[in-house]
Amino acid sequence: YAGPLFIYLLFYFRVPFIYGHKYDFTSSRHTVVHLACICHSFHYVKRLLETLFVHRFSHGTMPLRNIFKNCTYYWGFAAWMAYYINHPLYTPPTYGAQQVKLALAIFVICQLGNFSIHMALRDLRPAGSKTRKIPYPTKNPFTWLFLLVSCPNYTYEVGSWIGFAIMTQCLPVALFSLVGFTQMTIWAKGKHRSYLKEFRDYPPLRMPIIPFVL
Amino acid sequence: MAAAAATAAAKGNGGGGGRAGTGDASGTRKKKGPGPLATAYLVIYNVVMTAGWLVIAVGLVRAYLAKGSYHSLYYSIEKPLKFFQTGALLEVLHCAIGIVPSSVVLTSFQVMSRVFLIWAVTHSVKEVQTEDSVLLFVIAWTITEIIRYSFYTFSLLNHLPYLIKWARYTLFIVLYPMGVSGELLTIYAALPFVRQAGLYSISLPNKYNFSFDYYAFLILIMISYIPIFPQLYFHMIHQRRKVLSHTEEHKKFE
Repeated sequence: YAGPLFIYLLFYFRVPFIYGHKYDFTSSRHTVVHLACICHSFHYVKRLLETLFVHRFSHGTMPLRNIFKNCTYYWGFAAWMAYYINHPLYTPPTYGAQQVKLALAIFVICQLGNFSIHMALRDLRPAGSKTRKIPYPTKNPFTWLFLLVSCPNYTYEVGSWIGFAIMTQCLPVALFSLVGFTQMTIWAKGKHRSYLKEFRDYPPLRMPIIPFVL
Repeated sequence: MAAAAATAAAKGNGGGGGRAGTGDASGTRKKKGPGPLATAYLVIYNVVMTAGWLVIAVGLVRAYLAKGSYHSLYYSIEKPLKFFQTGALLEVLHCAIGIVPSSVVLTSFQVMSRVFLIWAVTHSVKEVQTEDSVLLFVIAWTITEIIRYSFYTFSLLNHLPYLIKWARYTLFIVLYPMGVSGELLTIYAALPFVRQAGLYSISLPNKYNFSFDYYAFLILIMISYIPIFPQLYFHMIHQRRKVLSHTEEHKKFE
């Protein structure tokens, strides 16, 4: 996750050789571009911290081939998105500040939601163990999504990226969200299926990733 | 590449004809093929495709005899070529629903590369339609497909003449490089016209903050032939050794 974080910043600061030389180290005059940088960086810093301090993994390590695939995916998309958002010819959203504000709200809410779910999932499993339990909503309103969905962390993640896409009105971001959504849906369905298999009393109303729909 | 890819992966995965254990590449294959309805459909499909490519072959010969030259023969077979090559998309469906034991991904890759060449290059860049390179890959594809589809037809009916099997696993040695050359030369010929017309390209600034350079994309495609072509080619040579030597053994025991 440090990769996408770093790579995006290269584009943000308009490091030489990316855009024409007259743009080296210049800064965009659009507020939304600065906001986007903050959001993107926040997202990956959050992920890094969660990996270090929050997540409790059932498997020890990730296979090497996966790491290569993962990195290519994250780094590639980060570069692709960052290139357009930080481009000197970037066009801000059609509906201006309204669109940016709304999208930013969606992004922030979903990031908070995603974090809440990660914390809730962590509290399900005592430190050092590998127990598996059905997640339920807690006092935190963000976790109430557990009533409708098995993997609300993925739901919030997709929501965050949709927010980011609307905020930047950038097609590559929308495509990244779509690809991420596809992958997360596959994972969510798998998780949902294993929940159903493992727990007889699994709440029937829940869908894998999108309430009532998917 | 599209020419050989079509034959390569299909051979590698044991053919697109659901051969019910004809022992093509291995003697210990389970006798599992498509059901009778699926088999009937596949036989019809493969017969129709064989016929279609024969039409293209005949069309080429007739046009050559009529014109007296081999230039610009594309126009005489343009419609059947588009129809039957695009129809091959059904093969992806066949894999997806399981009546053909090949991989969906591999088959998609093959068919899409053919369809790409037909529509996104030859059809879209009218100026290359008179190039001789087009004829080069059309001939390669035509011969390959006639053999391939008749191979599947016979396999499905469990009566595969050795000649067809031999042809399928031998002619590629010449046809594959021929097809690849035709394809690459055609894409290369299309480049200046793509650049000139800005074909399928979008540049900044625009309200979706996106750009695509079809010219650069085509160059990337050409470069991708470099790793892919040798892999497929040598895979097919390997398949050839396996298949044709296995048949020799079979003959010994008769």
